[in-house]
Amino acid sequence: MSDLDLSQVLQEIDDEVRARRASGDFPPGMERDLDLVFARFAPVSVNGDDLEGLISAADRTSFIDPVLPTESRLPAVSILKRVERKLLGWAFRHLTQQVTAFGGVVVQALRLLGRRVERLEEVSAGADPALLAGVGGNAPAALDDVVVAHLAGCSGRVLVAEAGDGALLRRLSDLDVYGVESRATLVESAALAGLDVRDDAVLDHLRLVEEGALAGMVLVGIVDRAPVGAQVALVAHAARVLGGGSRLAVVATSPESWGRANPIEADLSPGRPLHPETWVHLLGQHGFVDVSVTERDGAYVVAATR
Amino acid sequence: MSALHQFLPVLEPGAIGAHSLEVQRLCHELGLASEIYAEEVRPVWHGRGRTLKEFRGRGDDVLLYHVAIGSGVADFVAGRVEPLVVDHHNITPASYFAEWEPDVVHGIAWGRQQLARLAGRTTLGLADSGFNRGELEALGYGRTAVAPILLDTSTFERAVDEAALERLGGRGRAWLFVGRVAPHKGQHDLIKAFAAYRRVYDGDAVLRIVGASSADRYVAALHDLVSALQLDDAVDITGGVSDGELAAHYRAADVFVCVSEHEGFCVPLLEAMHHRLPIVAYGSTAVPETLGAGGLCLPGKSPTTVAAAVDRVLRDPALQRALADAGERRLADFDLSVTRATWRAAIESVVA
Repeated sequence: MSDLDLSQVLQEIDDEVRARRASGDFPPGMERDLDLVFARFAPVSVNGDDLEGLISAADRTSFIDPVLPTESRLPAVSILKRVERKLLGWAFRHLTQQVTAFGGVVVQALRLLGRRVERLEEVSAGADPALLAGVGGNAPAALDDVVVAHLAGCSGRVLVAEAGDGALLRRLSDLDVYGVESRATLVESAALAGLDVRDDAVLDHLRLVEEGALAGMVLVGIVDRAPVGAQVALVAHAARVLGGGSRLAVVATSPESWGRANPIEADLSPGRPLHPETWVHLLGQHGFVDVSVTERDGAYVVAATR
Repeated sequence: MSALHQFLPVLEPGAIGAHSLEVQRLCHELGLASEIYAEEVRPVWHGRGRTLKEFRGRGDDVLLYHVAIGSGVADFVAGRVEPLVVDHHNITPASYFAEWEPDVVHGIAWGRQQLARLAGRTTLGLADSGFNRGELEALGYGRTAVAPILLDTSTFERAVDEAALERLGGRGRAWLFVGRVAPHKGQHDLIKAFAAYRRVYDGDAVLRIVGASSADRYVAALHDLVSALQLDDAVDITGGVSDGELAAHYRAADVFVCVSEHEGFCVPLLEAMHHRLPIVAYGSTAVPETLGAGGLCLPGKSPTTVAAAVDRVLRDPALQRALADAGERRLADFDLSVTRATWRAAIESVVA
């Protein structure tokens, strides 16, 4: 190899990973499983947003010990330190009591804040995913062929979020595709079917994806139910994680037919589908081009290129 | 102006210690008086530095402060009247340590606060890398420049501990990472990638993680991870090693793999280049800059990608040679003859 073309080597590595995934050598969920093994040994707060765990950690470390250590390799220094501790002990106690008191108040304030957030979550309609257990999960399938055509030829990782029961993943199996799904029963059935579906919330997953790491993305399911703020955040994340020339497809139920087709989900969800014009507007704002809309049978696809 | 004096928390063997001695040597060549002052001078380097209380400054001296952690030395130089140059070697964000090693969080947070406070007091902010320079600029440093750490790369050539080398030989392909064992260095991600590699490509491969650590909890978690993945016979977390053992590790390795998440420069990359080891590295923070074209820089560090990248390198002798050659060329960019010229210009710009 006289001329070292590292971009070519990187492309070959991408191709190799894709081929190994397709052959099952890198089985679906392998990376997630490795993460879970390490998570067993890592502190709770390293692995997620466990507020109570973090507050408990803050509580444990908020006590400032006023007693200075006096150990030393040199006996004379140890004696000196003990004298110093005796002389200055009152000063350290005075300071540490104030710092410890401050820490205690801050921890208490955090607990109060945590409880308020919990109450807010309780009264936010449909914010609890358990309410929707066993309900819905059927993304509009009428436009799958439009999605498949739009993503055809994507060279690189393609994300389907949410993956639902994996039907769209199967349709996209020619690509290096994986899914994200937060409903455990759907994740399990997808895993049993040999599909690469990660058990995670879409926004949580997207926060961890590297900039420009994806060649394609389908937003489906979540765009029917998520609050407006989350939908806007999805666009921002898509703009970040999709590389130049990548493809995005937003598959949603039209607002007019949403309530009729999914009454329970519509009533209990914190959000509702946006109009396709709104997606066109948001995607344009975030630099997507060639934005087009296809509508069929009460659903629509907004296709765009990064 | 006739003197440039350096200040750092501890003067000891290591990259920053060696760098400060090189800066001192350069100052002497430029006809400047130059002493190194520290809160503590390690006994092994007794006589190479002085304590802070020995400093007798003159108004026209220049002070150079090396930043890597919080220290009373920063407050000392902040309170002086002489022109100040800050050399930013980077401070790892505290968030990496909050849960693993809470004892160091204070020193880190303190260091970051001091670095910010020195912005208004500093004549010139120097940085090991463009990444570090970006941090200085974000903190409001007005005049900044990149001046890589001064390293005599010939010191990478150490006598090999033959007994250690013999112990390391005769096994499968060897991955190597050298660096402090700490959460931000991502040794846990390295083990995950290695597990994927063993599963698919080479069941006889070994991974050696070389470096000391103060993060006991993280080290324990790494050992637990290795056991849980049934890699006890394949992964060696050595802790600190002697110079001879380190040389043996470089000699015995087939590839240097780095998936660190935060580096202000990453000296071990240069050492791997010196030993003609092909490098596979995750391109975080200052790593792409230090690596240049001298290794394979990955855009992500998923275990599958890292495993496939290492396999791509190890099954292609021509690529290994090309990467080793590229590494040698890149290493030449950090030769003292090059970096001293940069430093010379920086020093002359503040003492002129």
